[in-house]
Amino acid sequence: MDKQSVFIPKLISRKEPFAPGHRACIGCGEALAVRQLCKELGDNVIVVNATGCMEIIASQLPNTSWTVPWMHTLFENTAAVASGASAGLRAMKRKGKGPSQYVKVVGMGGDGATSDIGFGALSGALQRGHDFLYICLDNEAYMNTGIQQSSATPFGASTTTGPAGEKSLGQVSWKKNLPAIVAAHDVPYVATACPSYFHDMLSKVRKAMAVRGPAYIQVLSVCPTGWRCATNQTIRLGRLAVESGMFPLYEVVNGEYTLSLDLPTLRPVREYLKAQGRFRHLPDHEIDYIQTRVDKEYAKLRKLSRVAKAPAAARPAVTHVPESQGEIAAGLPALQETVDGILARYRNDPALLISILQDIQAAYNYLPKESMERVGSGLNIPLSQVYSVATFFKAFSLKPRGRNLIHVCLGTACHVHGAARLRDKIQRALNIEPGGTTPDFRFTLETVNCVGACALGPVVMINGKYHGQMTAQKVDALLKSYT
Amino acid sequence: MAEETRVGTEVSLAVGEIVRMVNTDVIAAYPITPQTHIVEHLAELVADGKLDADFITIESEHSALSACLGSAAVGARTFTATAGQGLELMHEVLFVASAMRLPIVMAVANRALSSPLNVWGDHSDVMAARDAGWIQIFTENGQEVVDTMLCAFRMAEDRRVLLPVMVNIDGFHLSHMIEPMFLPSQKEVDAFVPPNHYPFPLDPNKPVAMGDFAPPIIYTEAKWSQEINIEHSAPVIREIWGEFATQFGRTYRPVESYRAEGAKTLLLTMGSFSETAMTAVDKMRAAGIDIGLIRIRLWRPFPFAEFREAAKGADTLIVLDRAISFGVGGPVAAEARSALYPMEKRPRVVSFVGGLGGRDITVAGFEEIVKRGKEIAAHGSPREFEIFGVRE
Ligand SMILES: Cc1ncc(C[n+]2csc(CCOP(=O)(O)OP(=O)(O)O)c2C)c(N)n1
Ligand code: SF4
Ligand SMILES: [Mg+2]
Repeated sequence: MDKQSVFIPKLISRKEPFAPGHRACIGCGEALAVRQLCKELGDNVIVVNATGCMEIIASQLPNTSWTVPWMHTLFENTAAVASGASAGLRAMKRKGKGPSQYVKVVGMGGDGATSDIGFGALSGALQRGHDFLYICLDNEAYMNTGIQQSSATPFGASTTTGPAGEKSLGQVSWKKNLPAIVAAHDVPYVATACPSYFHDMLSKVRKAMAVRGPAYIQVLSVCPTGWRCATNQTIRLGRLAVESGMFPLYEVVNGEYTLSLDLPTLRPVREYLKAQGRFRHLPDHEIDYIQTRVDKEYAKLRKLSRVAKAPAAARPAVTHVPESQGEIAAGLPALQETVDGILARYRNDPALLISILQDIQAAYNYLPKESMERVGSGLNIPLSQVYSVATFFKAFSLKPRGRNLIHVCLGTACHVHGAARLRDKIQRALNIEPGGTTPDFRFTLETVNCVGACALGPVVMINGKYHGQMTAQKVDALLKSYT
Repeated sequence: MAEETRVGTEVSLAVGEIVRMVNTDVIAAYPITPQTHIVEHLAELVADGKLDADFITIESEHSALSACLGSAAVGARTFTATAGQGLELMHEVLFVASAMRLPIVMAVANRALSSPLNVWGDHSDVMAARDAGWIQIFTENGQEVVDTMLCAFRMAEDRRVLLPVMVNIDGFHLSHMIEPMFLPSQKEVDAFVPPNHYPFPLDPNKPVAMGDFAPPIIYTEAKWSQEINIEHSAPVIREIWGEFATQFGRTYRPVESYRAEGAKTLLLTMGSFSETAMTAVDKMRAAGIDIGLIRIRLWRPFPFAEFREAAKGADTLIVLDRAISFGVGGPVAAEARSALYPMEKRPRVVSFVGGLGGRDITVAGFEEIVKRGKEIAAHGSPREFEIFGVRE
């Protein structure tokens, strides 16, 4: 998964195609997912929505949250309606009618609408190969009608039609592996996502939108009402679901599996289950069973998958990290060649400016002034444009930085767990301010507003490695381990 | 003057020819006897490049009509066809198509319903769908099917109407007949059926939201406007039939009478059996029996005024239904009774059910029905309705 968490919030559209004012519960993960998804879907879409929470909460006559063309008809037929809309647009385009631009038809339905009652319609539409994107908003039950069990309800969860009781655990079968079933239709793009990893989710939407044919994304959406958890736990629970392996994030591109986030060790499922009322009744041995099964399923998935290449690994090895001011004054070695090589790799495409700057920074640990001049002339864009991008994102540094780059996360989750104290402690230990570099070029200290690991907070990231649950006491030892 | 050509062909294929000539954009259909010849012919026309349409080989009738919703909503001209079980599987979707005012044209090759399984014709399927808000028309012969199909696209897509239209064609008894028919020329079709301009399509250049959620405070108003809408479609339907008569010289009315003048006993039929009934009427008239025939062509919206006008003056109205509303009787008879009730002097309605599951009723059969009907009118019956020709 891209470690772009630092800039993505700035790249994301400020437009709200899914307008506020709808009636979703507080902390609704589905509404959050739809809001984010819509930002990436853009304007040239037709959304076909199944009956369910997202339809009911956002479309009450005479109001609507939908600013893109939107249609709801029934509970189980979304993929079929999408088939018809897609075919209609295609036929009309051939005959010179209808919208002149390319329009993507996007079906959206809950887990019930998708994996149960609308399963046949989905399978038919996937197999026929219509050009459409189907997004399943998986909150693991029929929430709109009051938390009834669906085939996406996980083992051990208590619902109103599969309640836990003296003689029942609640759901006693394993969650239907719908993404795998969809992938078995041999469609070009299948992915799982979660709004807790929204940059990952949006990059998957972007890929799905580029497909001409069927694409499918299943979005795990925390439902505080149905999962019986606190309404401020939505993001954290989404992360725990992913990090415990309960809901792994992956893509299946033309049949090839790729784990989006490869976890060498999974967090215990217990942590995830204990945070939710729907699992409260589970005795220890059932939790152990879930742990065993999750481990097994995850191992299976890992075996199937390539691991997503971190973009950093694709970048050139560090060319030269300067270690003193004198060295910089003397001129950096091979600067022109390195920059030209990077430009060539991105085919001198100005649209890829950010990636180009990232690679240069990876090579020198900062953006040398001369490199930016070279980028401007190489891409044939004004230097001011290069500077405006370089200075806009906090992740780029125009000043030389130390061998070890420390990021202290001051995001809300880390902040409430004492991140400010940590920052102060590191400042004192190194005798530098945030943004500063030690005279021996050993450390540079920076603060960021979120590194996308809220469940681990407070987090200190050094050279891209996360150190979670940090305390001021542990700081000295941590710094010592970096030379 | 009409430039039609006279052809002898199967009625199902003629349906396909009209769908081709109006340059339909999308067909989503699922095979079921006796509708199959219609959709197979269309698939062939598309495969041969004679019709530039997307033919969706969909996985069920529920999805077939659902796909039509999507297609009609983006503004594409849309057709489907089904029968019997297929229409029942579409049931839920039927109501959405009309309430969302999507101009879909559907041919129904009327068929009996399971169980027991029966693939032959009767009106059980459409009678179970009569409250779905569609314009519903019954046809009697091949020519009428061709003409009604042509008019159906006009009616559905007229801006004042914007409703789905169901063309009922008796399964086998009509759908599989090879008959001589006049088929219009392409020029005539183009002159009669303008391109579809759905006024509120799903289009990113002008976003609309369709199919919202309506709480009690507004649902009644939504349904009332739907009712007004279908009531207001009646004059437009008559106007389109009028235009059709001007251009093609064949006249269609919501209710037709045949030799009903002065008759004290009238027979009421719908669909292809009417042709046999007409022959029976001729025969009985020749024998001096007092009888006439009325046929309801426009079943929805129900043509109250025309129906009362056609029935007035008679003492007895013998209704033949090809479906049973279980525990009640013939659905057409029930509606006829309720339509006649406000009249000061109204005929007595005698209800027969017959022709179920493809069982034929011959001319002699109709003669028997009339005879027994007159007896019941004079002396009553132990039953609310009788089944013609049943073996007990
Ligand atoms: C044919 C039909 N059966 C049942 C329902 C009732 N119903 C409406 S929404 C819903 C549950 C939706 O669950 P899901 O698809 O998971 O979406 P969520 O509300 O959880 O987002 C049900 C059972 C319906 N509308 N139509
Ligand atoms: S019930 Fe759950 S999914 Fe539905 S609106 Fe509330 S929080 Fe969202
Ligand atoms: Mg759900």
